[in-house]
Amino acid sequence: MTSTVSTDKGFFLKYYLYKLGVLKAHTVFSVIFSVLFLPAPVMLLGTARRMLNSGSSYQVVSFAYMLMILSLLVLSALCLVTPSFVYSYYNKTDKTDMYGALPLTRMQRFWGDWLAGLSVCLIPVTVFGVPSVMAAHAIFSDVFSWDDWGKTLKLFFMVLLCLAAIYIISVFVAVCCGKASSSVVFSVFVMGALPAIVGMSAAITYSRCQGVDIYEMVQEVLRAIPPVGTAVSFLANSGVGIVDRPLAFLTAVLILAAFTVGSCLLAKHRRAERTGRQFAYNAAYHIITVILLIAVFEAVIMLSNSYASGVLAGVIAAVALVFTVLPLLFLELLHYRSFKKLWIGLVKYVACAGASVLIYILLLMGGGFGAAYYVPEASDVERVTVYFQNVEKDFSFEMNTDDRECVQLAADCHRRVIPEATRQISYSPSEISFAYLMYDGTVVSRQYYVEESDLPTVTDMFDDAGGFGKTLSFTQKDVQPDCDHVVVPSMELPFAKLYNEKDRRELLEALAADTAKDDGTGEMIGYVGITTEHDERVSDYFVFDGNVIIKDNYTETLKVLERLGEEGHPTDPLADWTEMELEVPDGENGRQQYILVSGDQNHCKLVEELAGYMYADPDAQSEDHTGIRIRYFGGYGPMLSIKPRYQQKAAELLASKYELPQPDGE
Amino acid sequence: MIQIENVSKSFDGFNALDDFSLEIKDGSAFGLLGSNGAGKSTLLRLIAGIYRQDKGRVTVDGDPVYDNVSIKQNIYFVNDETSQFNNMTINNMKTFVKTFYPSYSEEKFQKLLKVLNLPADKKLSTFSKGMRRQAAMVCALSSGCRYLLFDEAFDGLDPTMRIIVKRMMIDAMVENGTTVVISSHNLKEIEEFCDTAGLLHKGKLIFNRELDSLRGDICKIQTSFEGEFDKEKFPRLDILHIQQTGSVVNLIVRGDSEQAAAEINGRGALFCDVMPLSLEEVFIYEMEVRGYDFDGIDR
Repeated sequence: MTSTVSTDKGFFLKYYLYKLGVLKAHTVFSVIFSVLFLPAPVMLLGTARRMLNSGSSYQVVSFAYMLMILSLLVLSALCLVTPSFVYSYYNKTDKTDMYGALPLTRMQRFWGDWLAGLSVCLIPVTVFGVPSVMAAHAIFSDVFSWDDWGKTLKLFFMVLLCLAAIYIISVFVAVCCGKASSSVVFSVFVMGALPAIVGMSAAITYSRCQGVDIYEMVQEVLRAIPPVGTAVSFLANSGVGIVDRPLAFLTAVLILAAFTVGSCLLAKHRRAERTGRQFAYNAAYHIITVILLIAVFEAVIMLSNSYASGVLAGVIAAVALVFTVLPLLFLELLHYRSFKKLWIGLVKYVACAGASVLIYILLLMGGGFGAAYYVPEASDVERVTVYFQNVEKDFSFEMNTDDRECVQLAADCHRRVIPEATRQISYSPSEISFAYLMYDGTVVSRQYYVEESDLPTVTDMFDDAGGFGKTLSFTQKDVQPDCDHVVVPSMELPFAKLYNEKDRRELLEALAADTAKDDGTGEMIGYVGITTEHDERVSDYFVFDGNVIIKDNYTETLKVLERLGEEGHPTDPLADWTEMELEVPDGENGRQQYILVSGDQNHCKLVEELAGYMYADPDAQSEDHTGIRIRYFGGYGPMLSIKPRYQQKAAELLASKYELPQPDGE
Repeated sequence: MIQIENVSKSFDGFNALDDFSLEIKDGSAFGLLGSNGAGKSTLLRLIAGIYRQDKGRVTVDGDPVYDNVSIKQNIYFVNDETSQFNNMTINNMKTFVKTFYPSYSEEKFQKLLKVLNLPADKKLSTFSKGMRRQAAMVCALSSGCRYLLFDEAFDGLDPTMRIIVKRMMIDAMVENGTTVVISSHNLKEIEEFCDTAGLLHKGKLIFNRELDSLRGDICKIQTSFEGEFDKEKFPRLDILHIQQTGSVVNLIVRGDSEQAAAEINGRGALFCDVMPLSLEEVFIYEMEVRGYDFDGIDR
């Protein structure tokens, strides 16, 4: 009696190839939508951009993006459901017999299926994705820059990671479950619940922990939880992906590796007879329901926090709790198929509620896992922005620098602010925020509210330490060569937006001289803002490069500003002016009235004409303001007013050049 | 040889097999009998390496089956359902068998296909239950495996086809020394095809005997006494079943039939006739002794 014996490895490869054959329909599906996801849209976009250059087709661009999004959704759905097909022997007893009897070890079967599913889901996207980007670059090199392709490739790899994550997590859940429907539904829950818990914990912390602005931190954490966290973080942060964030990328890869190892171990110990049940492991059922319950409870706490006025918060909490206990009991009934065991569900419910409240309390007591008290070491910081706003005086100060002394100063100041900021705050406190761009690419940001009464302390703290002088030295040293413009937008000082290098240099040198002489006795009357091209790696925290405070004893600076004011606006402000409003006060009801709202270039020239007469008036209140007010849209800056002493002159100027409507709108 | 030693297997507290032991010799045709839920399918899945036992050992040719590639490539299991192949054609099934079973014989496959006259390119979902069963048989017999396990082997087959399939199995046994294990509720089929049978009840093995010796070990005796039949007067007889109609008493007795007849005659029986039992009757009476309720069944 003879028999042929094949090697184990041979069987693995045969099985993998056989399973690829079984998934033929999936492969075709995957190929079609991989083509529609990237190659087709990039060709369309390239063509559309060429057409747009000659003044046409917005619809094509929209269609291309729509195609891309829809195809991505289909590919995601494919990654979600493929594990249920690949591991069909976990869901159907006849398949269990068919595949279980095959001459394969469990691990050979698991990995053969894992690879086959992954191949079907990801290989077509990869094969069509990367070359299509490269090919389209060659074809449309006239309309796309390499930068565009770099971003597209980064985005593509992020999508690839997210698709892989959907597949890997779905495999994990499929191994835990015994029904295809359970696998799909609970995969979605698991993918959503984890980032939801992180996000909601952050929101709770943010709402209750004084001083903690953990938006960026949460972004970093979410980014590392693919696929939902990564996608949400990407969408929320518009353009900051995961591929160029090594720590987040590594964390994401480790999470996926953990899911894969977990799947493998569970598959190894999974019993074939558990097929057809909702869950192959009771523990998996309990873990998944507990995660879901905690996510729901956190949502309830978060919502109740948002509507903190007693009754409404209570109603939200009560309704949410009722609507969570019922689905849970239903799930328990489905799982145990017995009313006698409903007490287990109730115990679980109470335990999860307790755990959620405990998490909430720990978050508050620990200041959001210490986030409220954390100050990064200056040596780890590449760049810092300090933003300080005095609401009462309508004054704000911003410093953005990579000067080592300034970074150290910011960190020191941050440490001193924390104890001041932990008190109970009033309705409209002033705020001071710190945003650190770390060398590892992450951003740590903190925002503290302080009472008006504490404000001088904070201001002095920074001023005494020489922060403003440091900022200026930074300005002189680094900003000038690529300085885009200088804005003097505030308080008693003339408005100026200096594009001219000579004026800029003159102003900055005067500032440098005055700050060098500063003995700390002068009163702050305004500041200048210096703007440069900012680093695209950083977020909104780093738009401005630095504002430098101006005091009433800064004689040389004031002299320069006065001259700039007398000479009128020396630059081309129209570049930024897309719309303006001309308004006057209505003496009878104390309200402001617009007499002109216009985007017309000629009307916008009003701004240029009036440049020498305009000031930002910190004392102006809408109800008693007596000047003509001109605002501009489309650019950064404060509301500008014409001071009473210049009103007559401005009115004459306007009357001589323009026919303007009357204040009542006629 | 298939050896099951002290194997236990339970599903959520239900003991499908309880300290179960069995030995199936090479080249034999073994019939698995048992009530519903007795553990027959579980036993076949343990032998096929689909299930892992909680306790004990399941070995084939001396090696454990579970997760053992070299052993499993000589075992082919056909379960009682055929729906798993619904999306396949017979040619697809052939590819499946050919891929994983190195002893697969294309010649045999074609021959069997020809005999059964099955369309090779049609999906099995369009087949009748019997045709699907035939397709599964073709794959099993052409796999070249030395151990063929069939759960409800003849289910759905018409009488002619049953004869053909049985003939195919016998050919495989004769040509390759194949061991065939069949579980079935159709005791007549088992009786006709198998040389050995095992009876399972509530996870335990009631007997495991060659059918000829099994039939000799249990007999039906028709007798008559003056007055009522008193079982207490026959302590040496292992009486499984008593049925009295008027003065005529039908007894099912385990043990040597001649000794039993002598015992009865020695106690003043008016007459005593010994009659052979069918496997079905053996099954029924053995099960009755173990509390399997047959009330109301008229024989």
